[in-house]
Amino acid sequence: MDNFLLNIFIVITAVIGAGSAVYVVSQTNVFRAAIALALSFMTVAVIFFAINAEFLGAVQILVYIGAVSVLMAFSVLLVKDLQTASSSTIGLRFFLSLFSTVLIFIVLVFVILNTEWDRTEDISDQAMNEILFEKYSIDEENMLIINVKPETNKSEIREGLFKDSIIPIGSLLATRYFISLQIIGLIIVACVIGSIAVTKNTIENDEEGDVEVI
Amino acid sequence: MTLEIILIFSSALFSIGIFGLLTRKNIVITLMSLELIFNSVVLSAVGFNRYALNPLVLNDISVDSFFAILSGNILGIFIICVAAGETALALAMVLALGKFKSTVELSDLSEMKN
Repeated sequence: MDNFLLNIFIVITAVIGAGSAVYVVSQTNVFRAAIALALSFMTVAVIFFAINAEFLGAVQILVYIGAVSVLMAFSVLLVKDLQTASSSTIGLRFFLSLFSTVLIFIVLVFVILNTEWDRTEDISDQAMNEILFEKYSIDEENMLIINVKPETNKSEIREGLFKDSIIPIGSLLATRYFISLQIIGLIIVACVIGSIAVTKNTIENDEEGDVEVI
Repeated sequence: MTLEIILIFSSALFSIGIFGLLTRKNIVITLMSLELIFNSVVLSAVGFNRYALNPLVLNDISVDSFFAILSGNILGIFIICVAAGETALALAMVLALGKFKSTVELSDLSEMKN
């Protein structure tokens, strides 16, 4: 059995996450849906922490829970008549959607369970510590990320990276993925400028009193 | 088994998000469903990164193979960034719509339809 307790933990977390996600899409009160969405994000963040992706877990909490959920809750409070959403009408469309969604889910689960994934075996913390402190290091002089000692086992190197993934991620973002990082920054700046422009026009037109359809 | 559990949770989130997109007409709830889908993609990327074997690492030990090791995490960071920007823009549009048209139902917004 590979790490039975971790599996149980992830299953419980996943059930909570899926339940709150169902609550989000079935709720007519948008504010409550935003709170349930935050819970769903939180369970995903907990799973990130459980599988040694601490940096992404932190980013998930900061960006999704701290910004996106709160932003949605604020927009609910700011817009009139947004508090209560129309519930989905039970009709042909509803059942077709339900059918296709369940079909997608069943196919995905079938594929997941029937595929032989190449996997790494679970490793103990002790092995990770050994690798982290003894077998690889950062070579600052030659701008290499990691300097591996030749006798190190290949799979050990891979596992060692997950023990403390923040430093390698930082190095990767600053070297190999530098251009991508800049482009992402550009996209976010464009999004922020665009949203400021949209809301600024709204406020100006509102002050002038001519309410026209945009 | 951990990889399978994570992937099944990810596909559950994905299916729920698709269901929300198809059935609900409120803009904000549609956005929330989109966020659920993004989240499921990030989750599966990180799960694969952690538990599935990367063939590049097995073939050679070089500096290049280390770049490949954490590529799932990097992909997750980029997806989260783009999703956050997109949400900010979409919510600004929701704000503008709520002011001018006093409606947040997608079925009421059909000016560009014909």
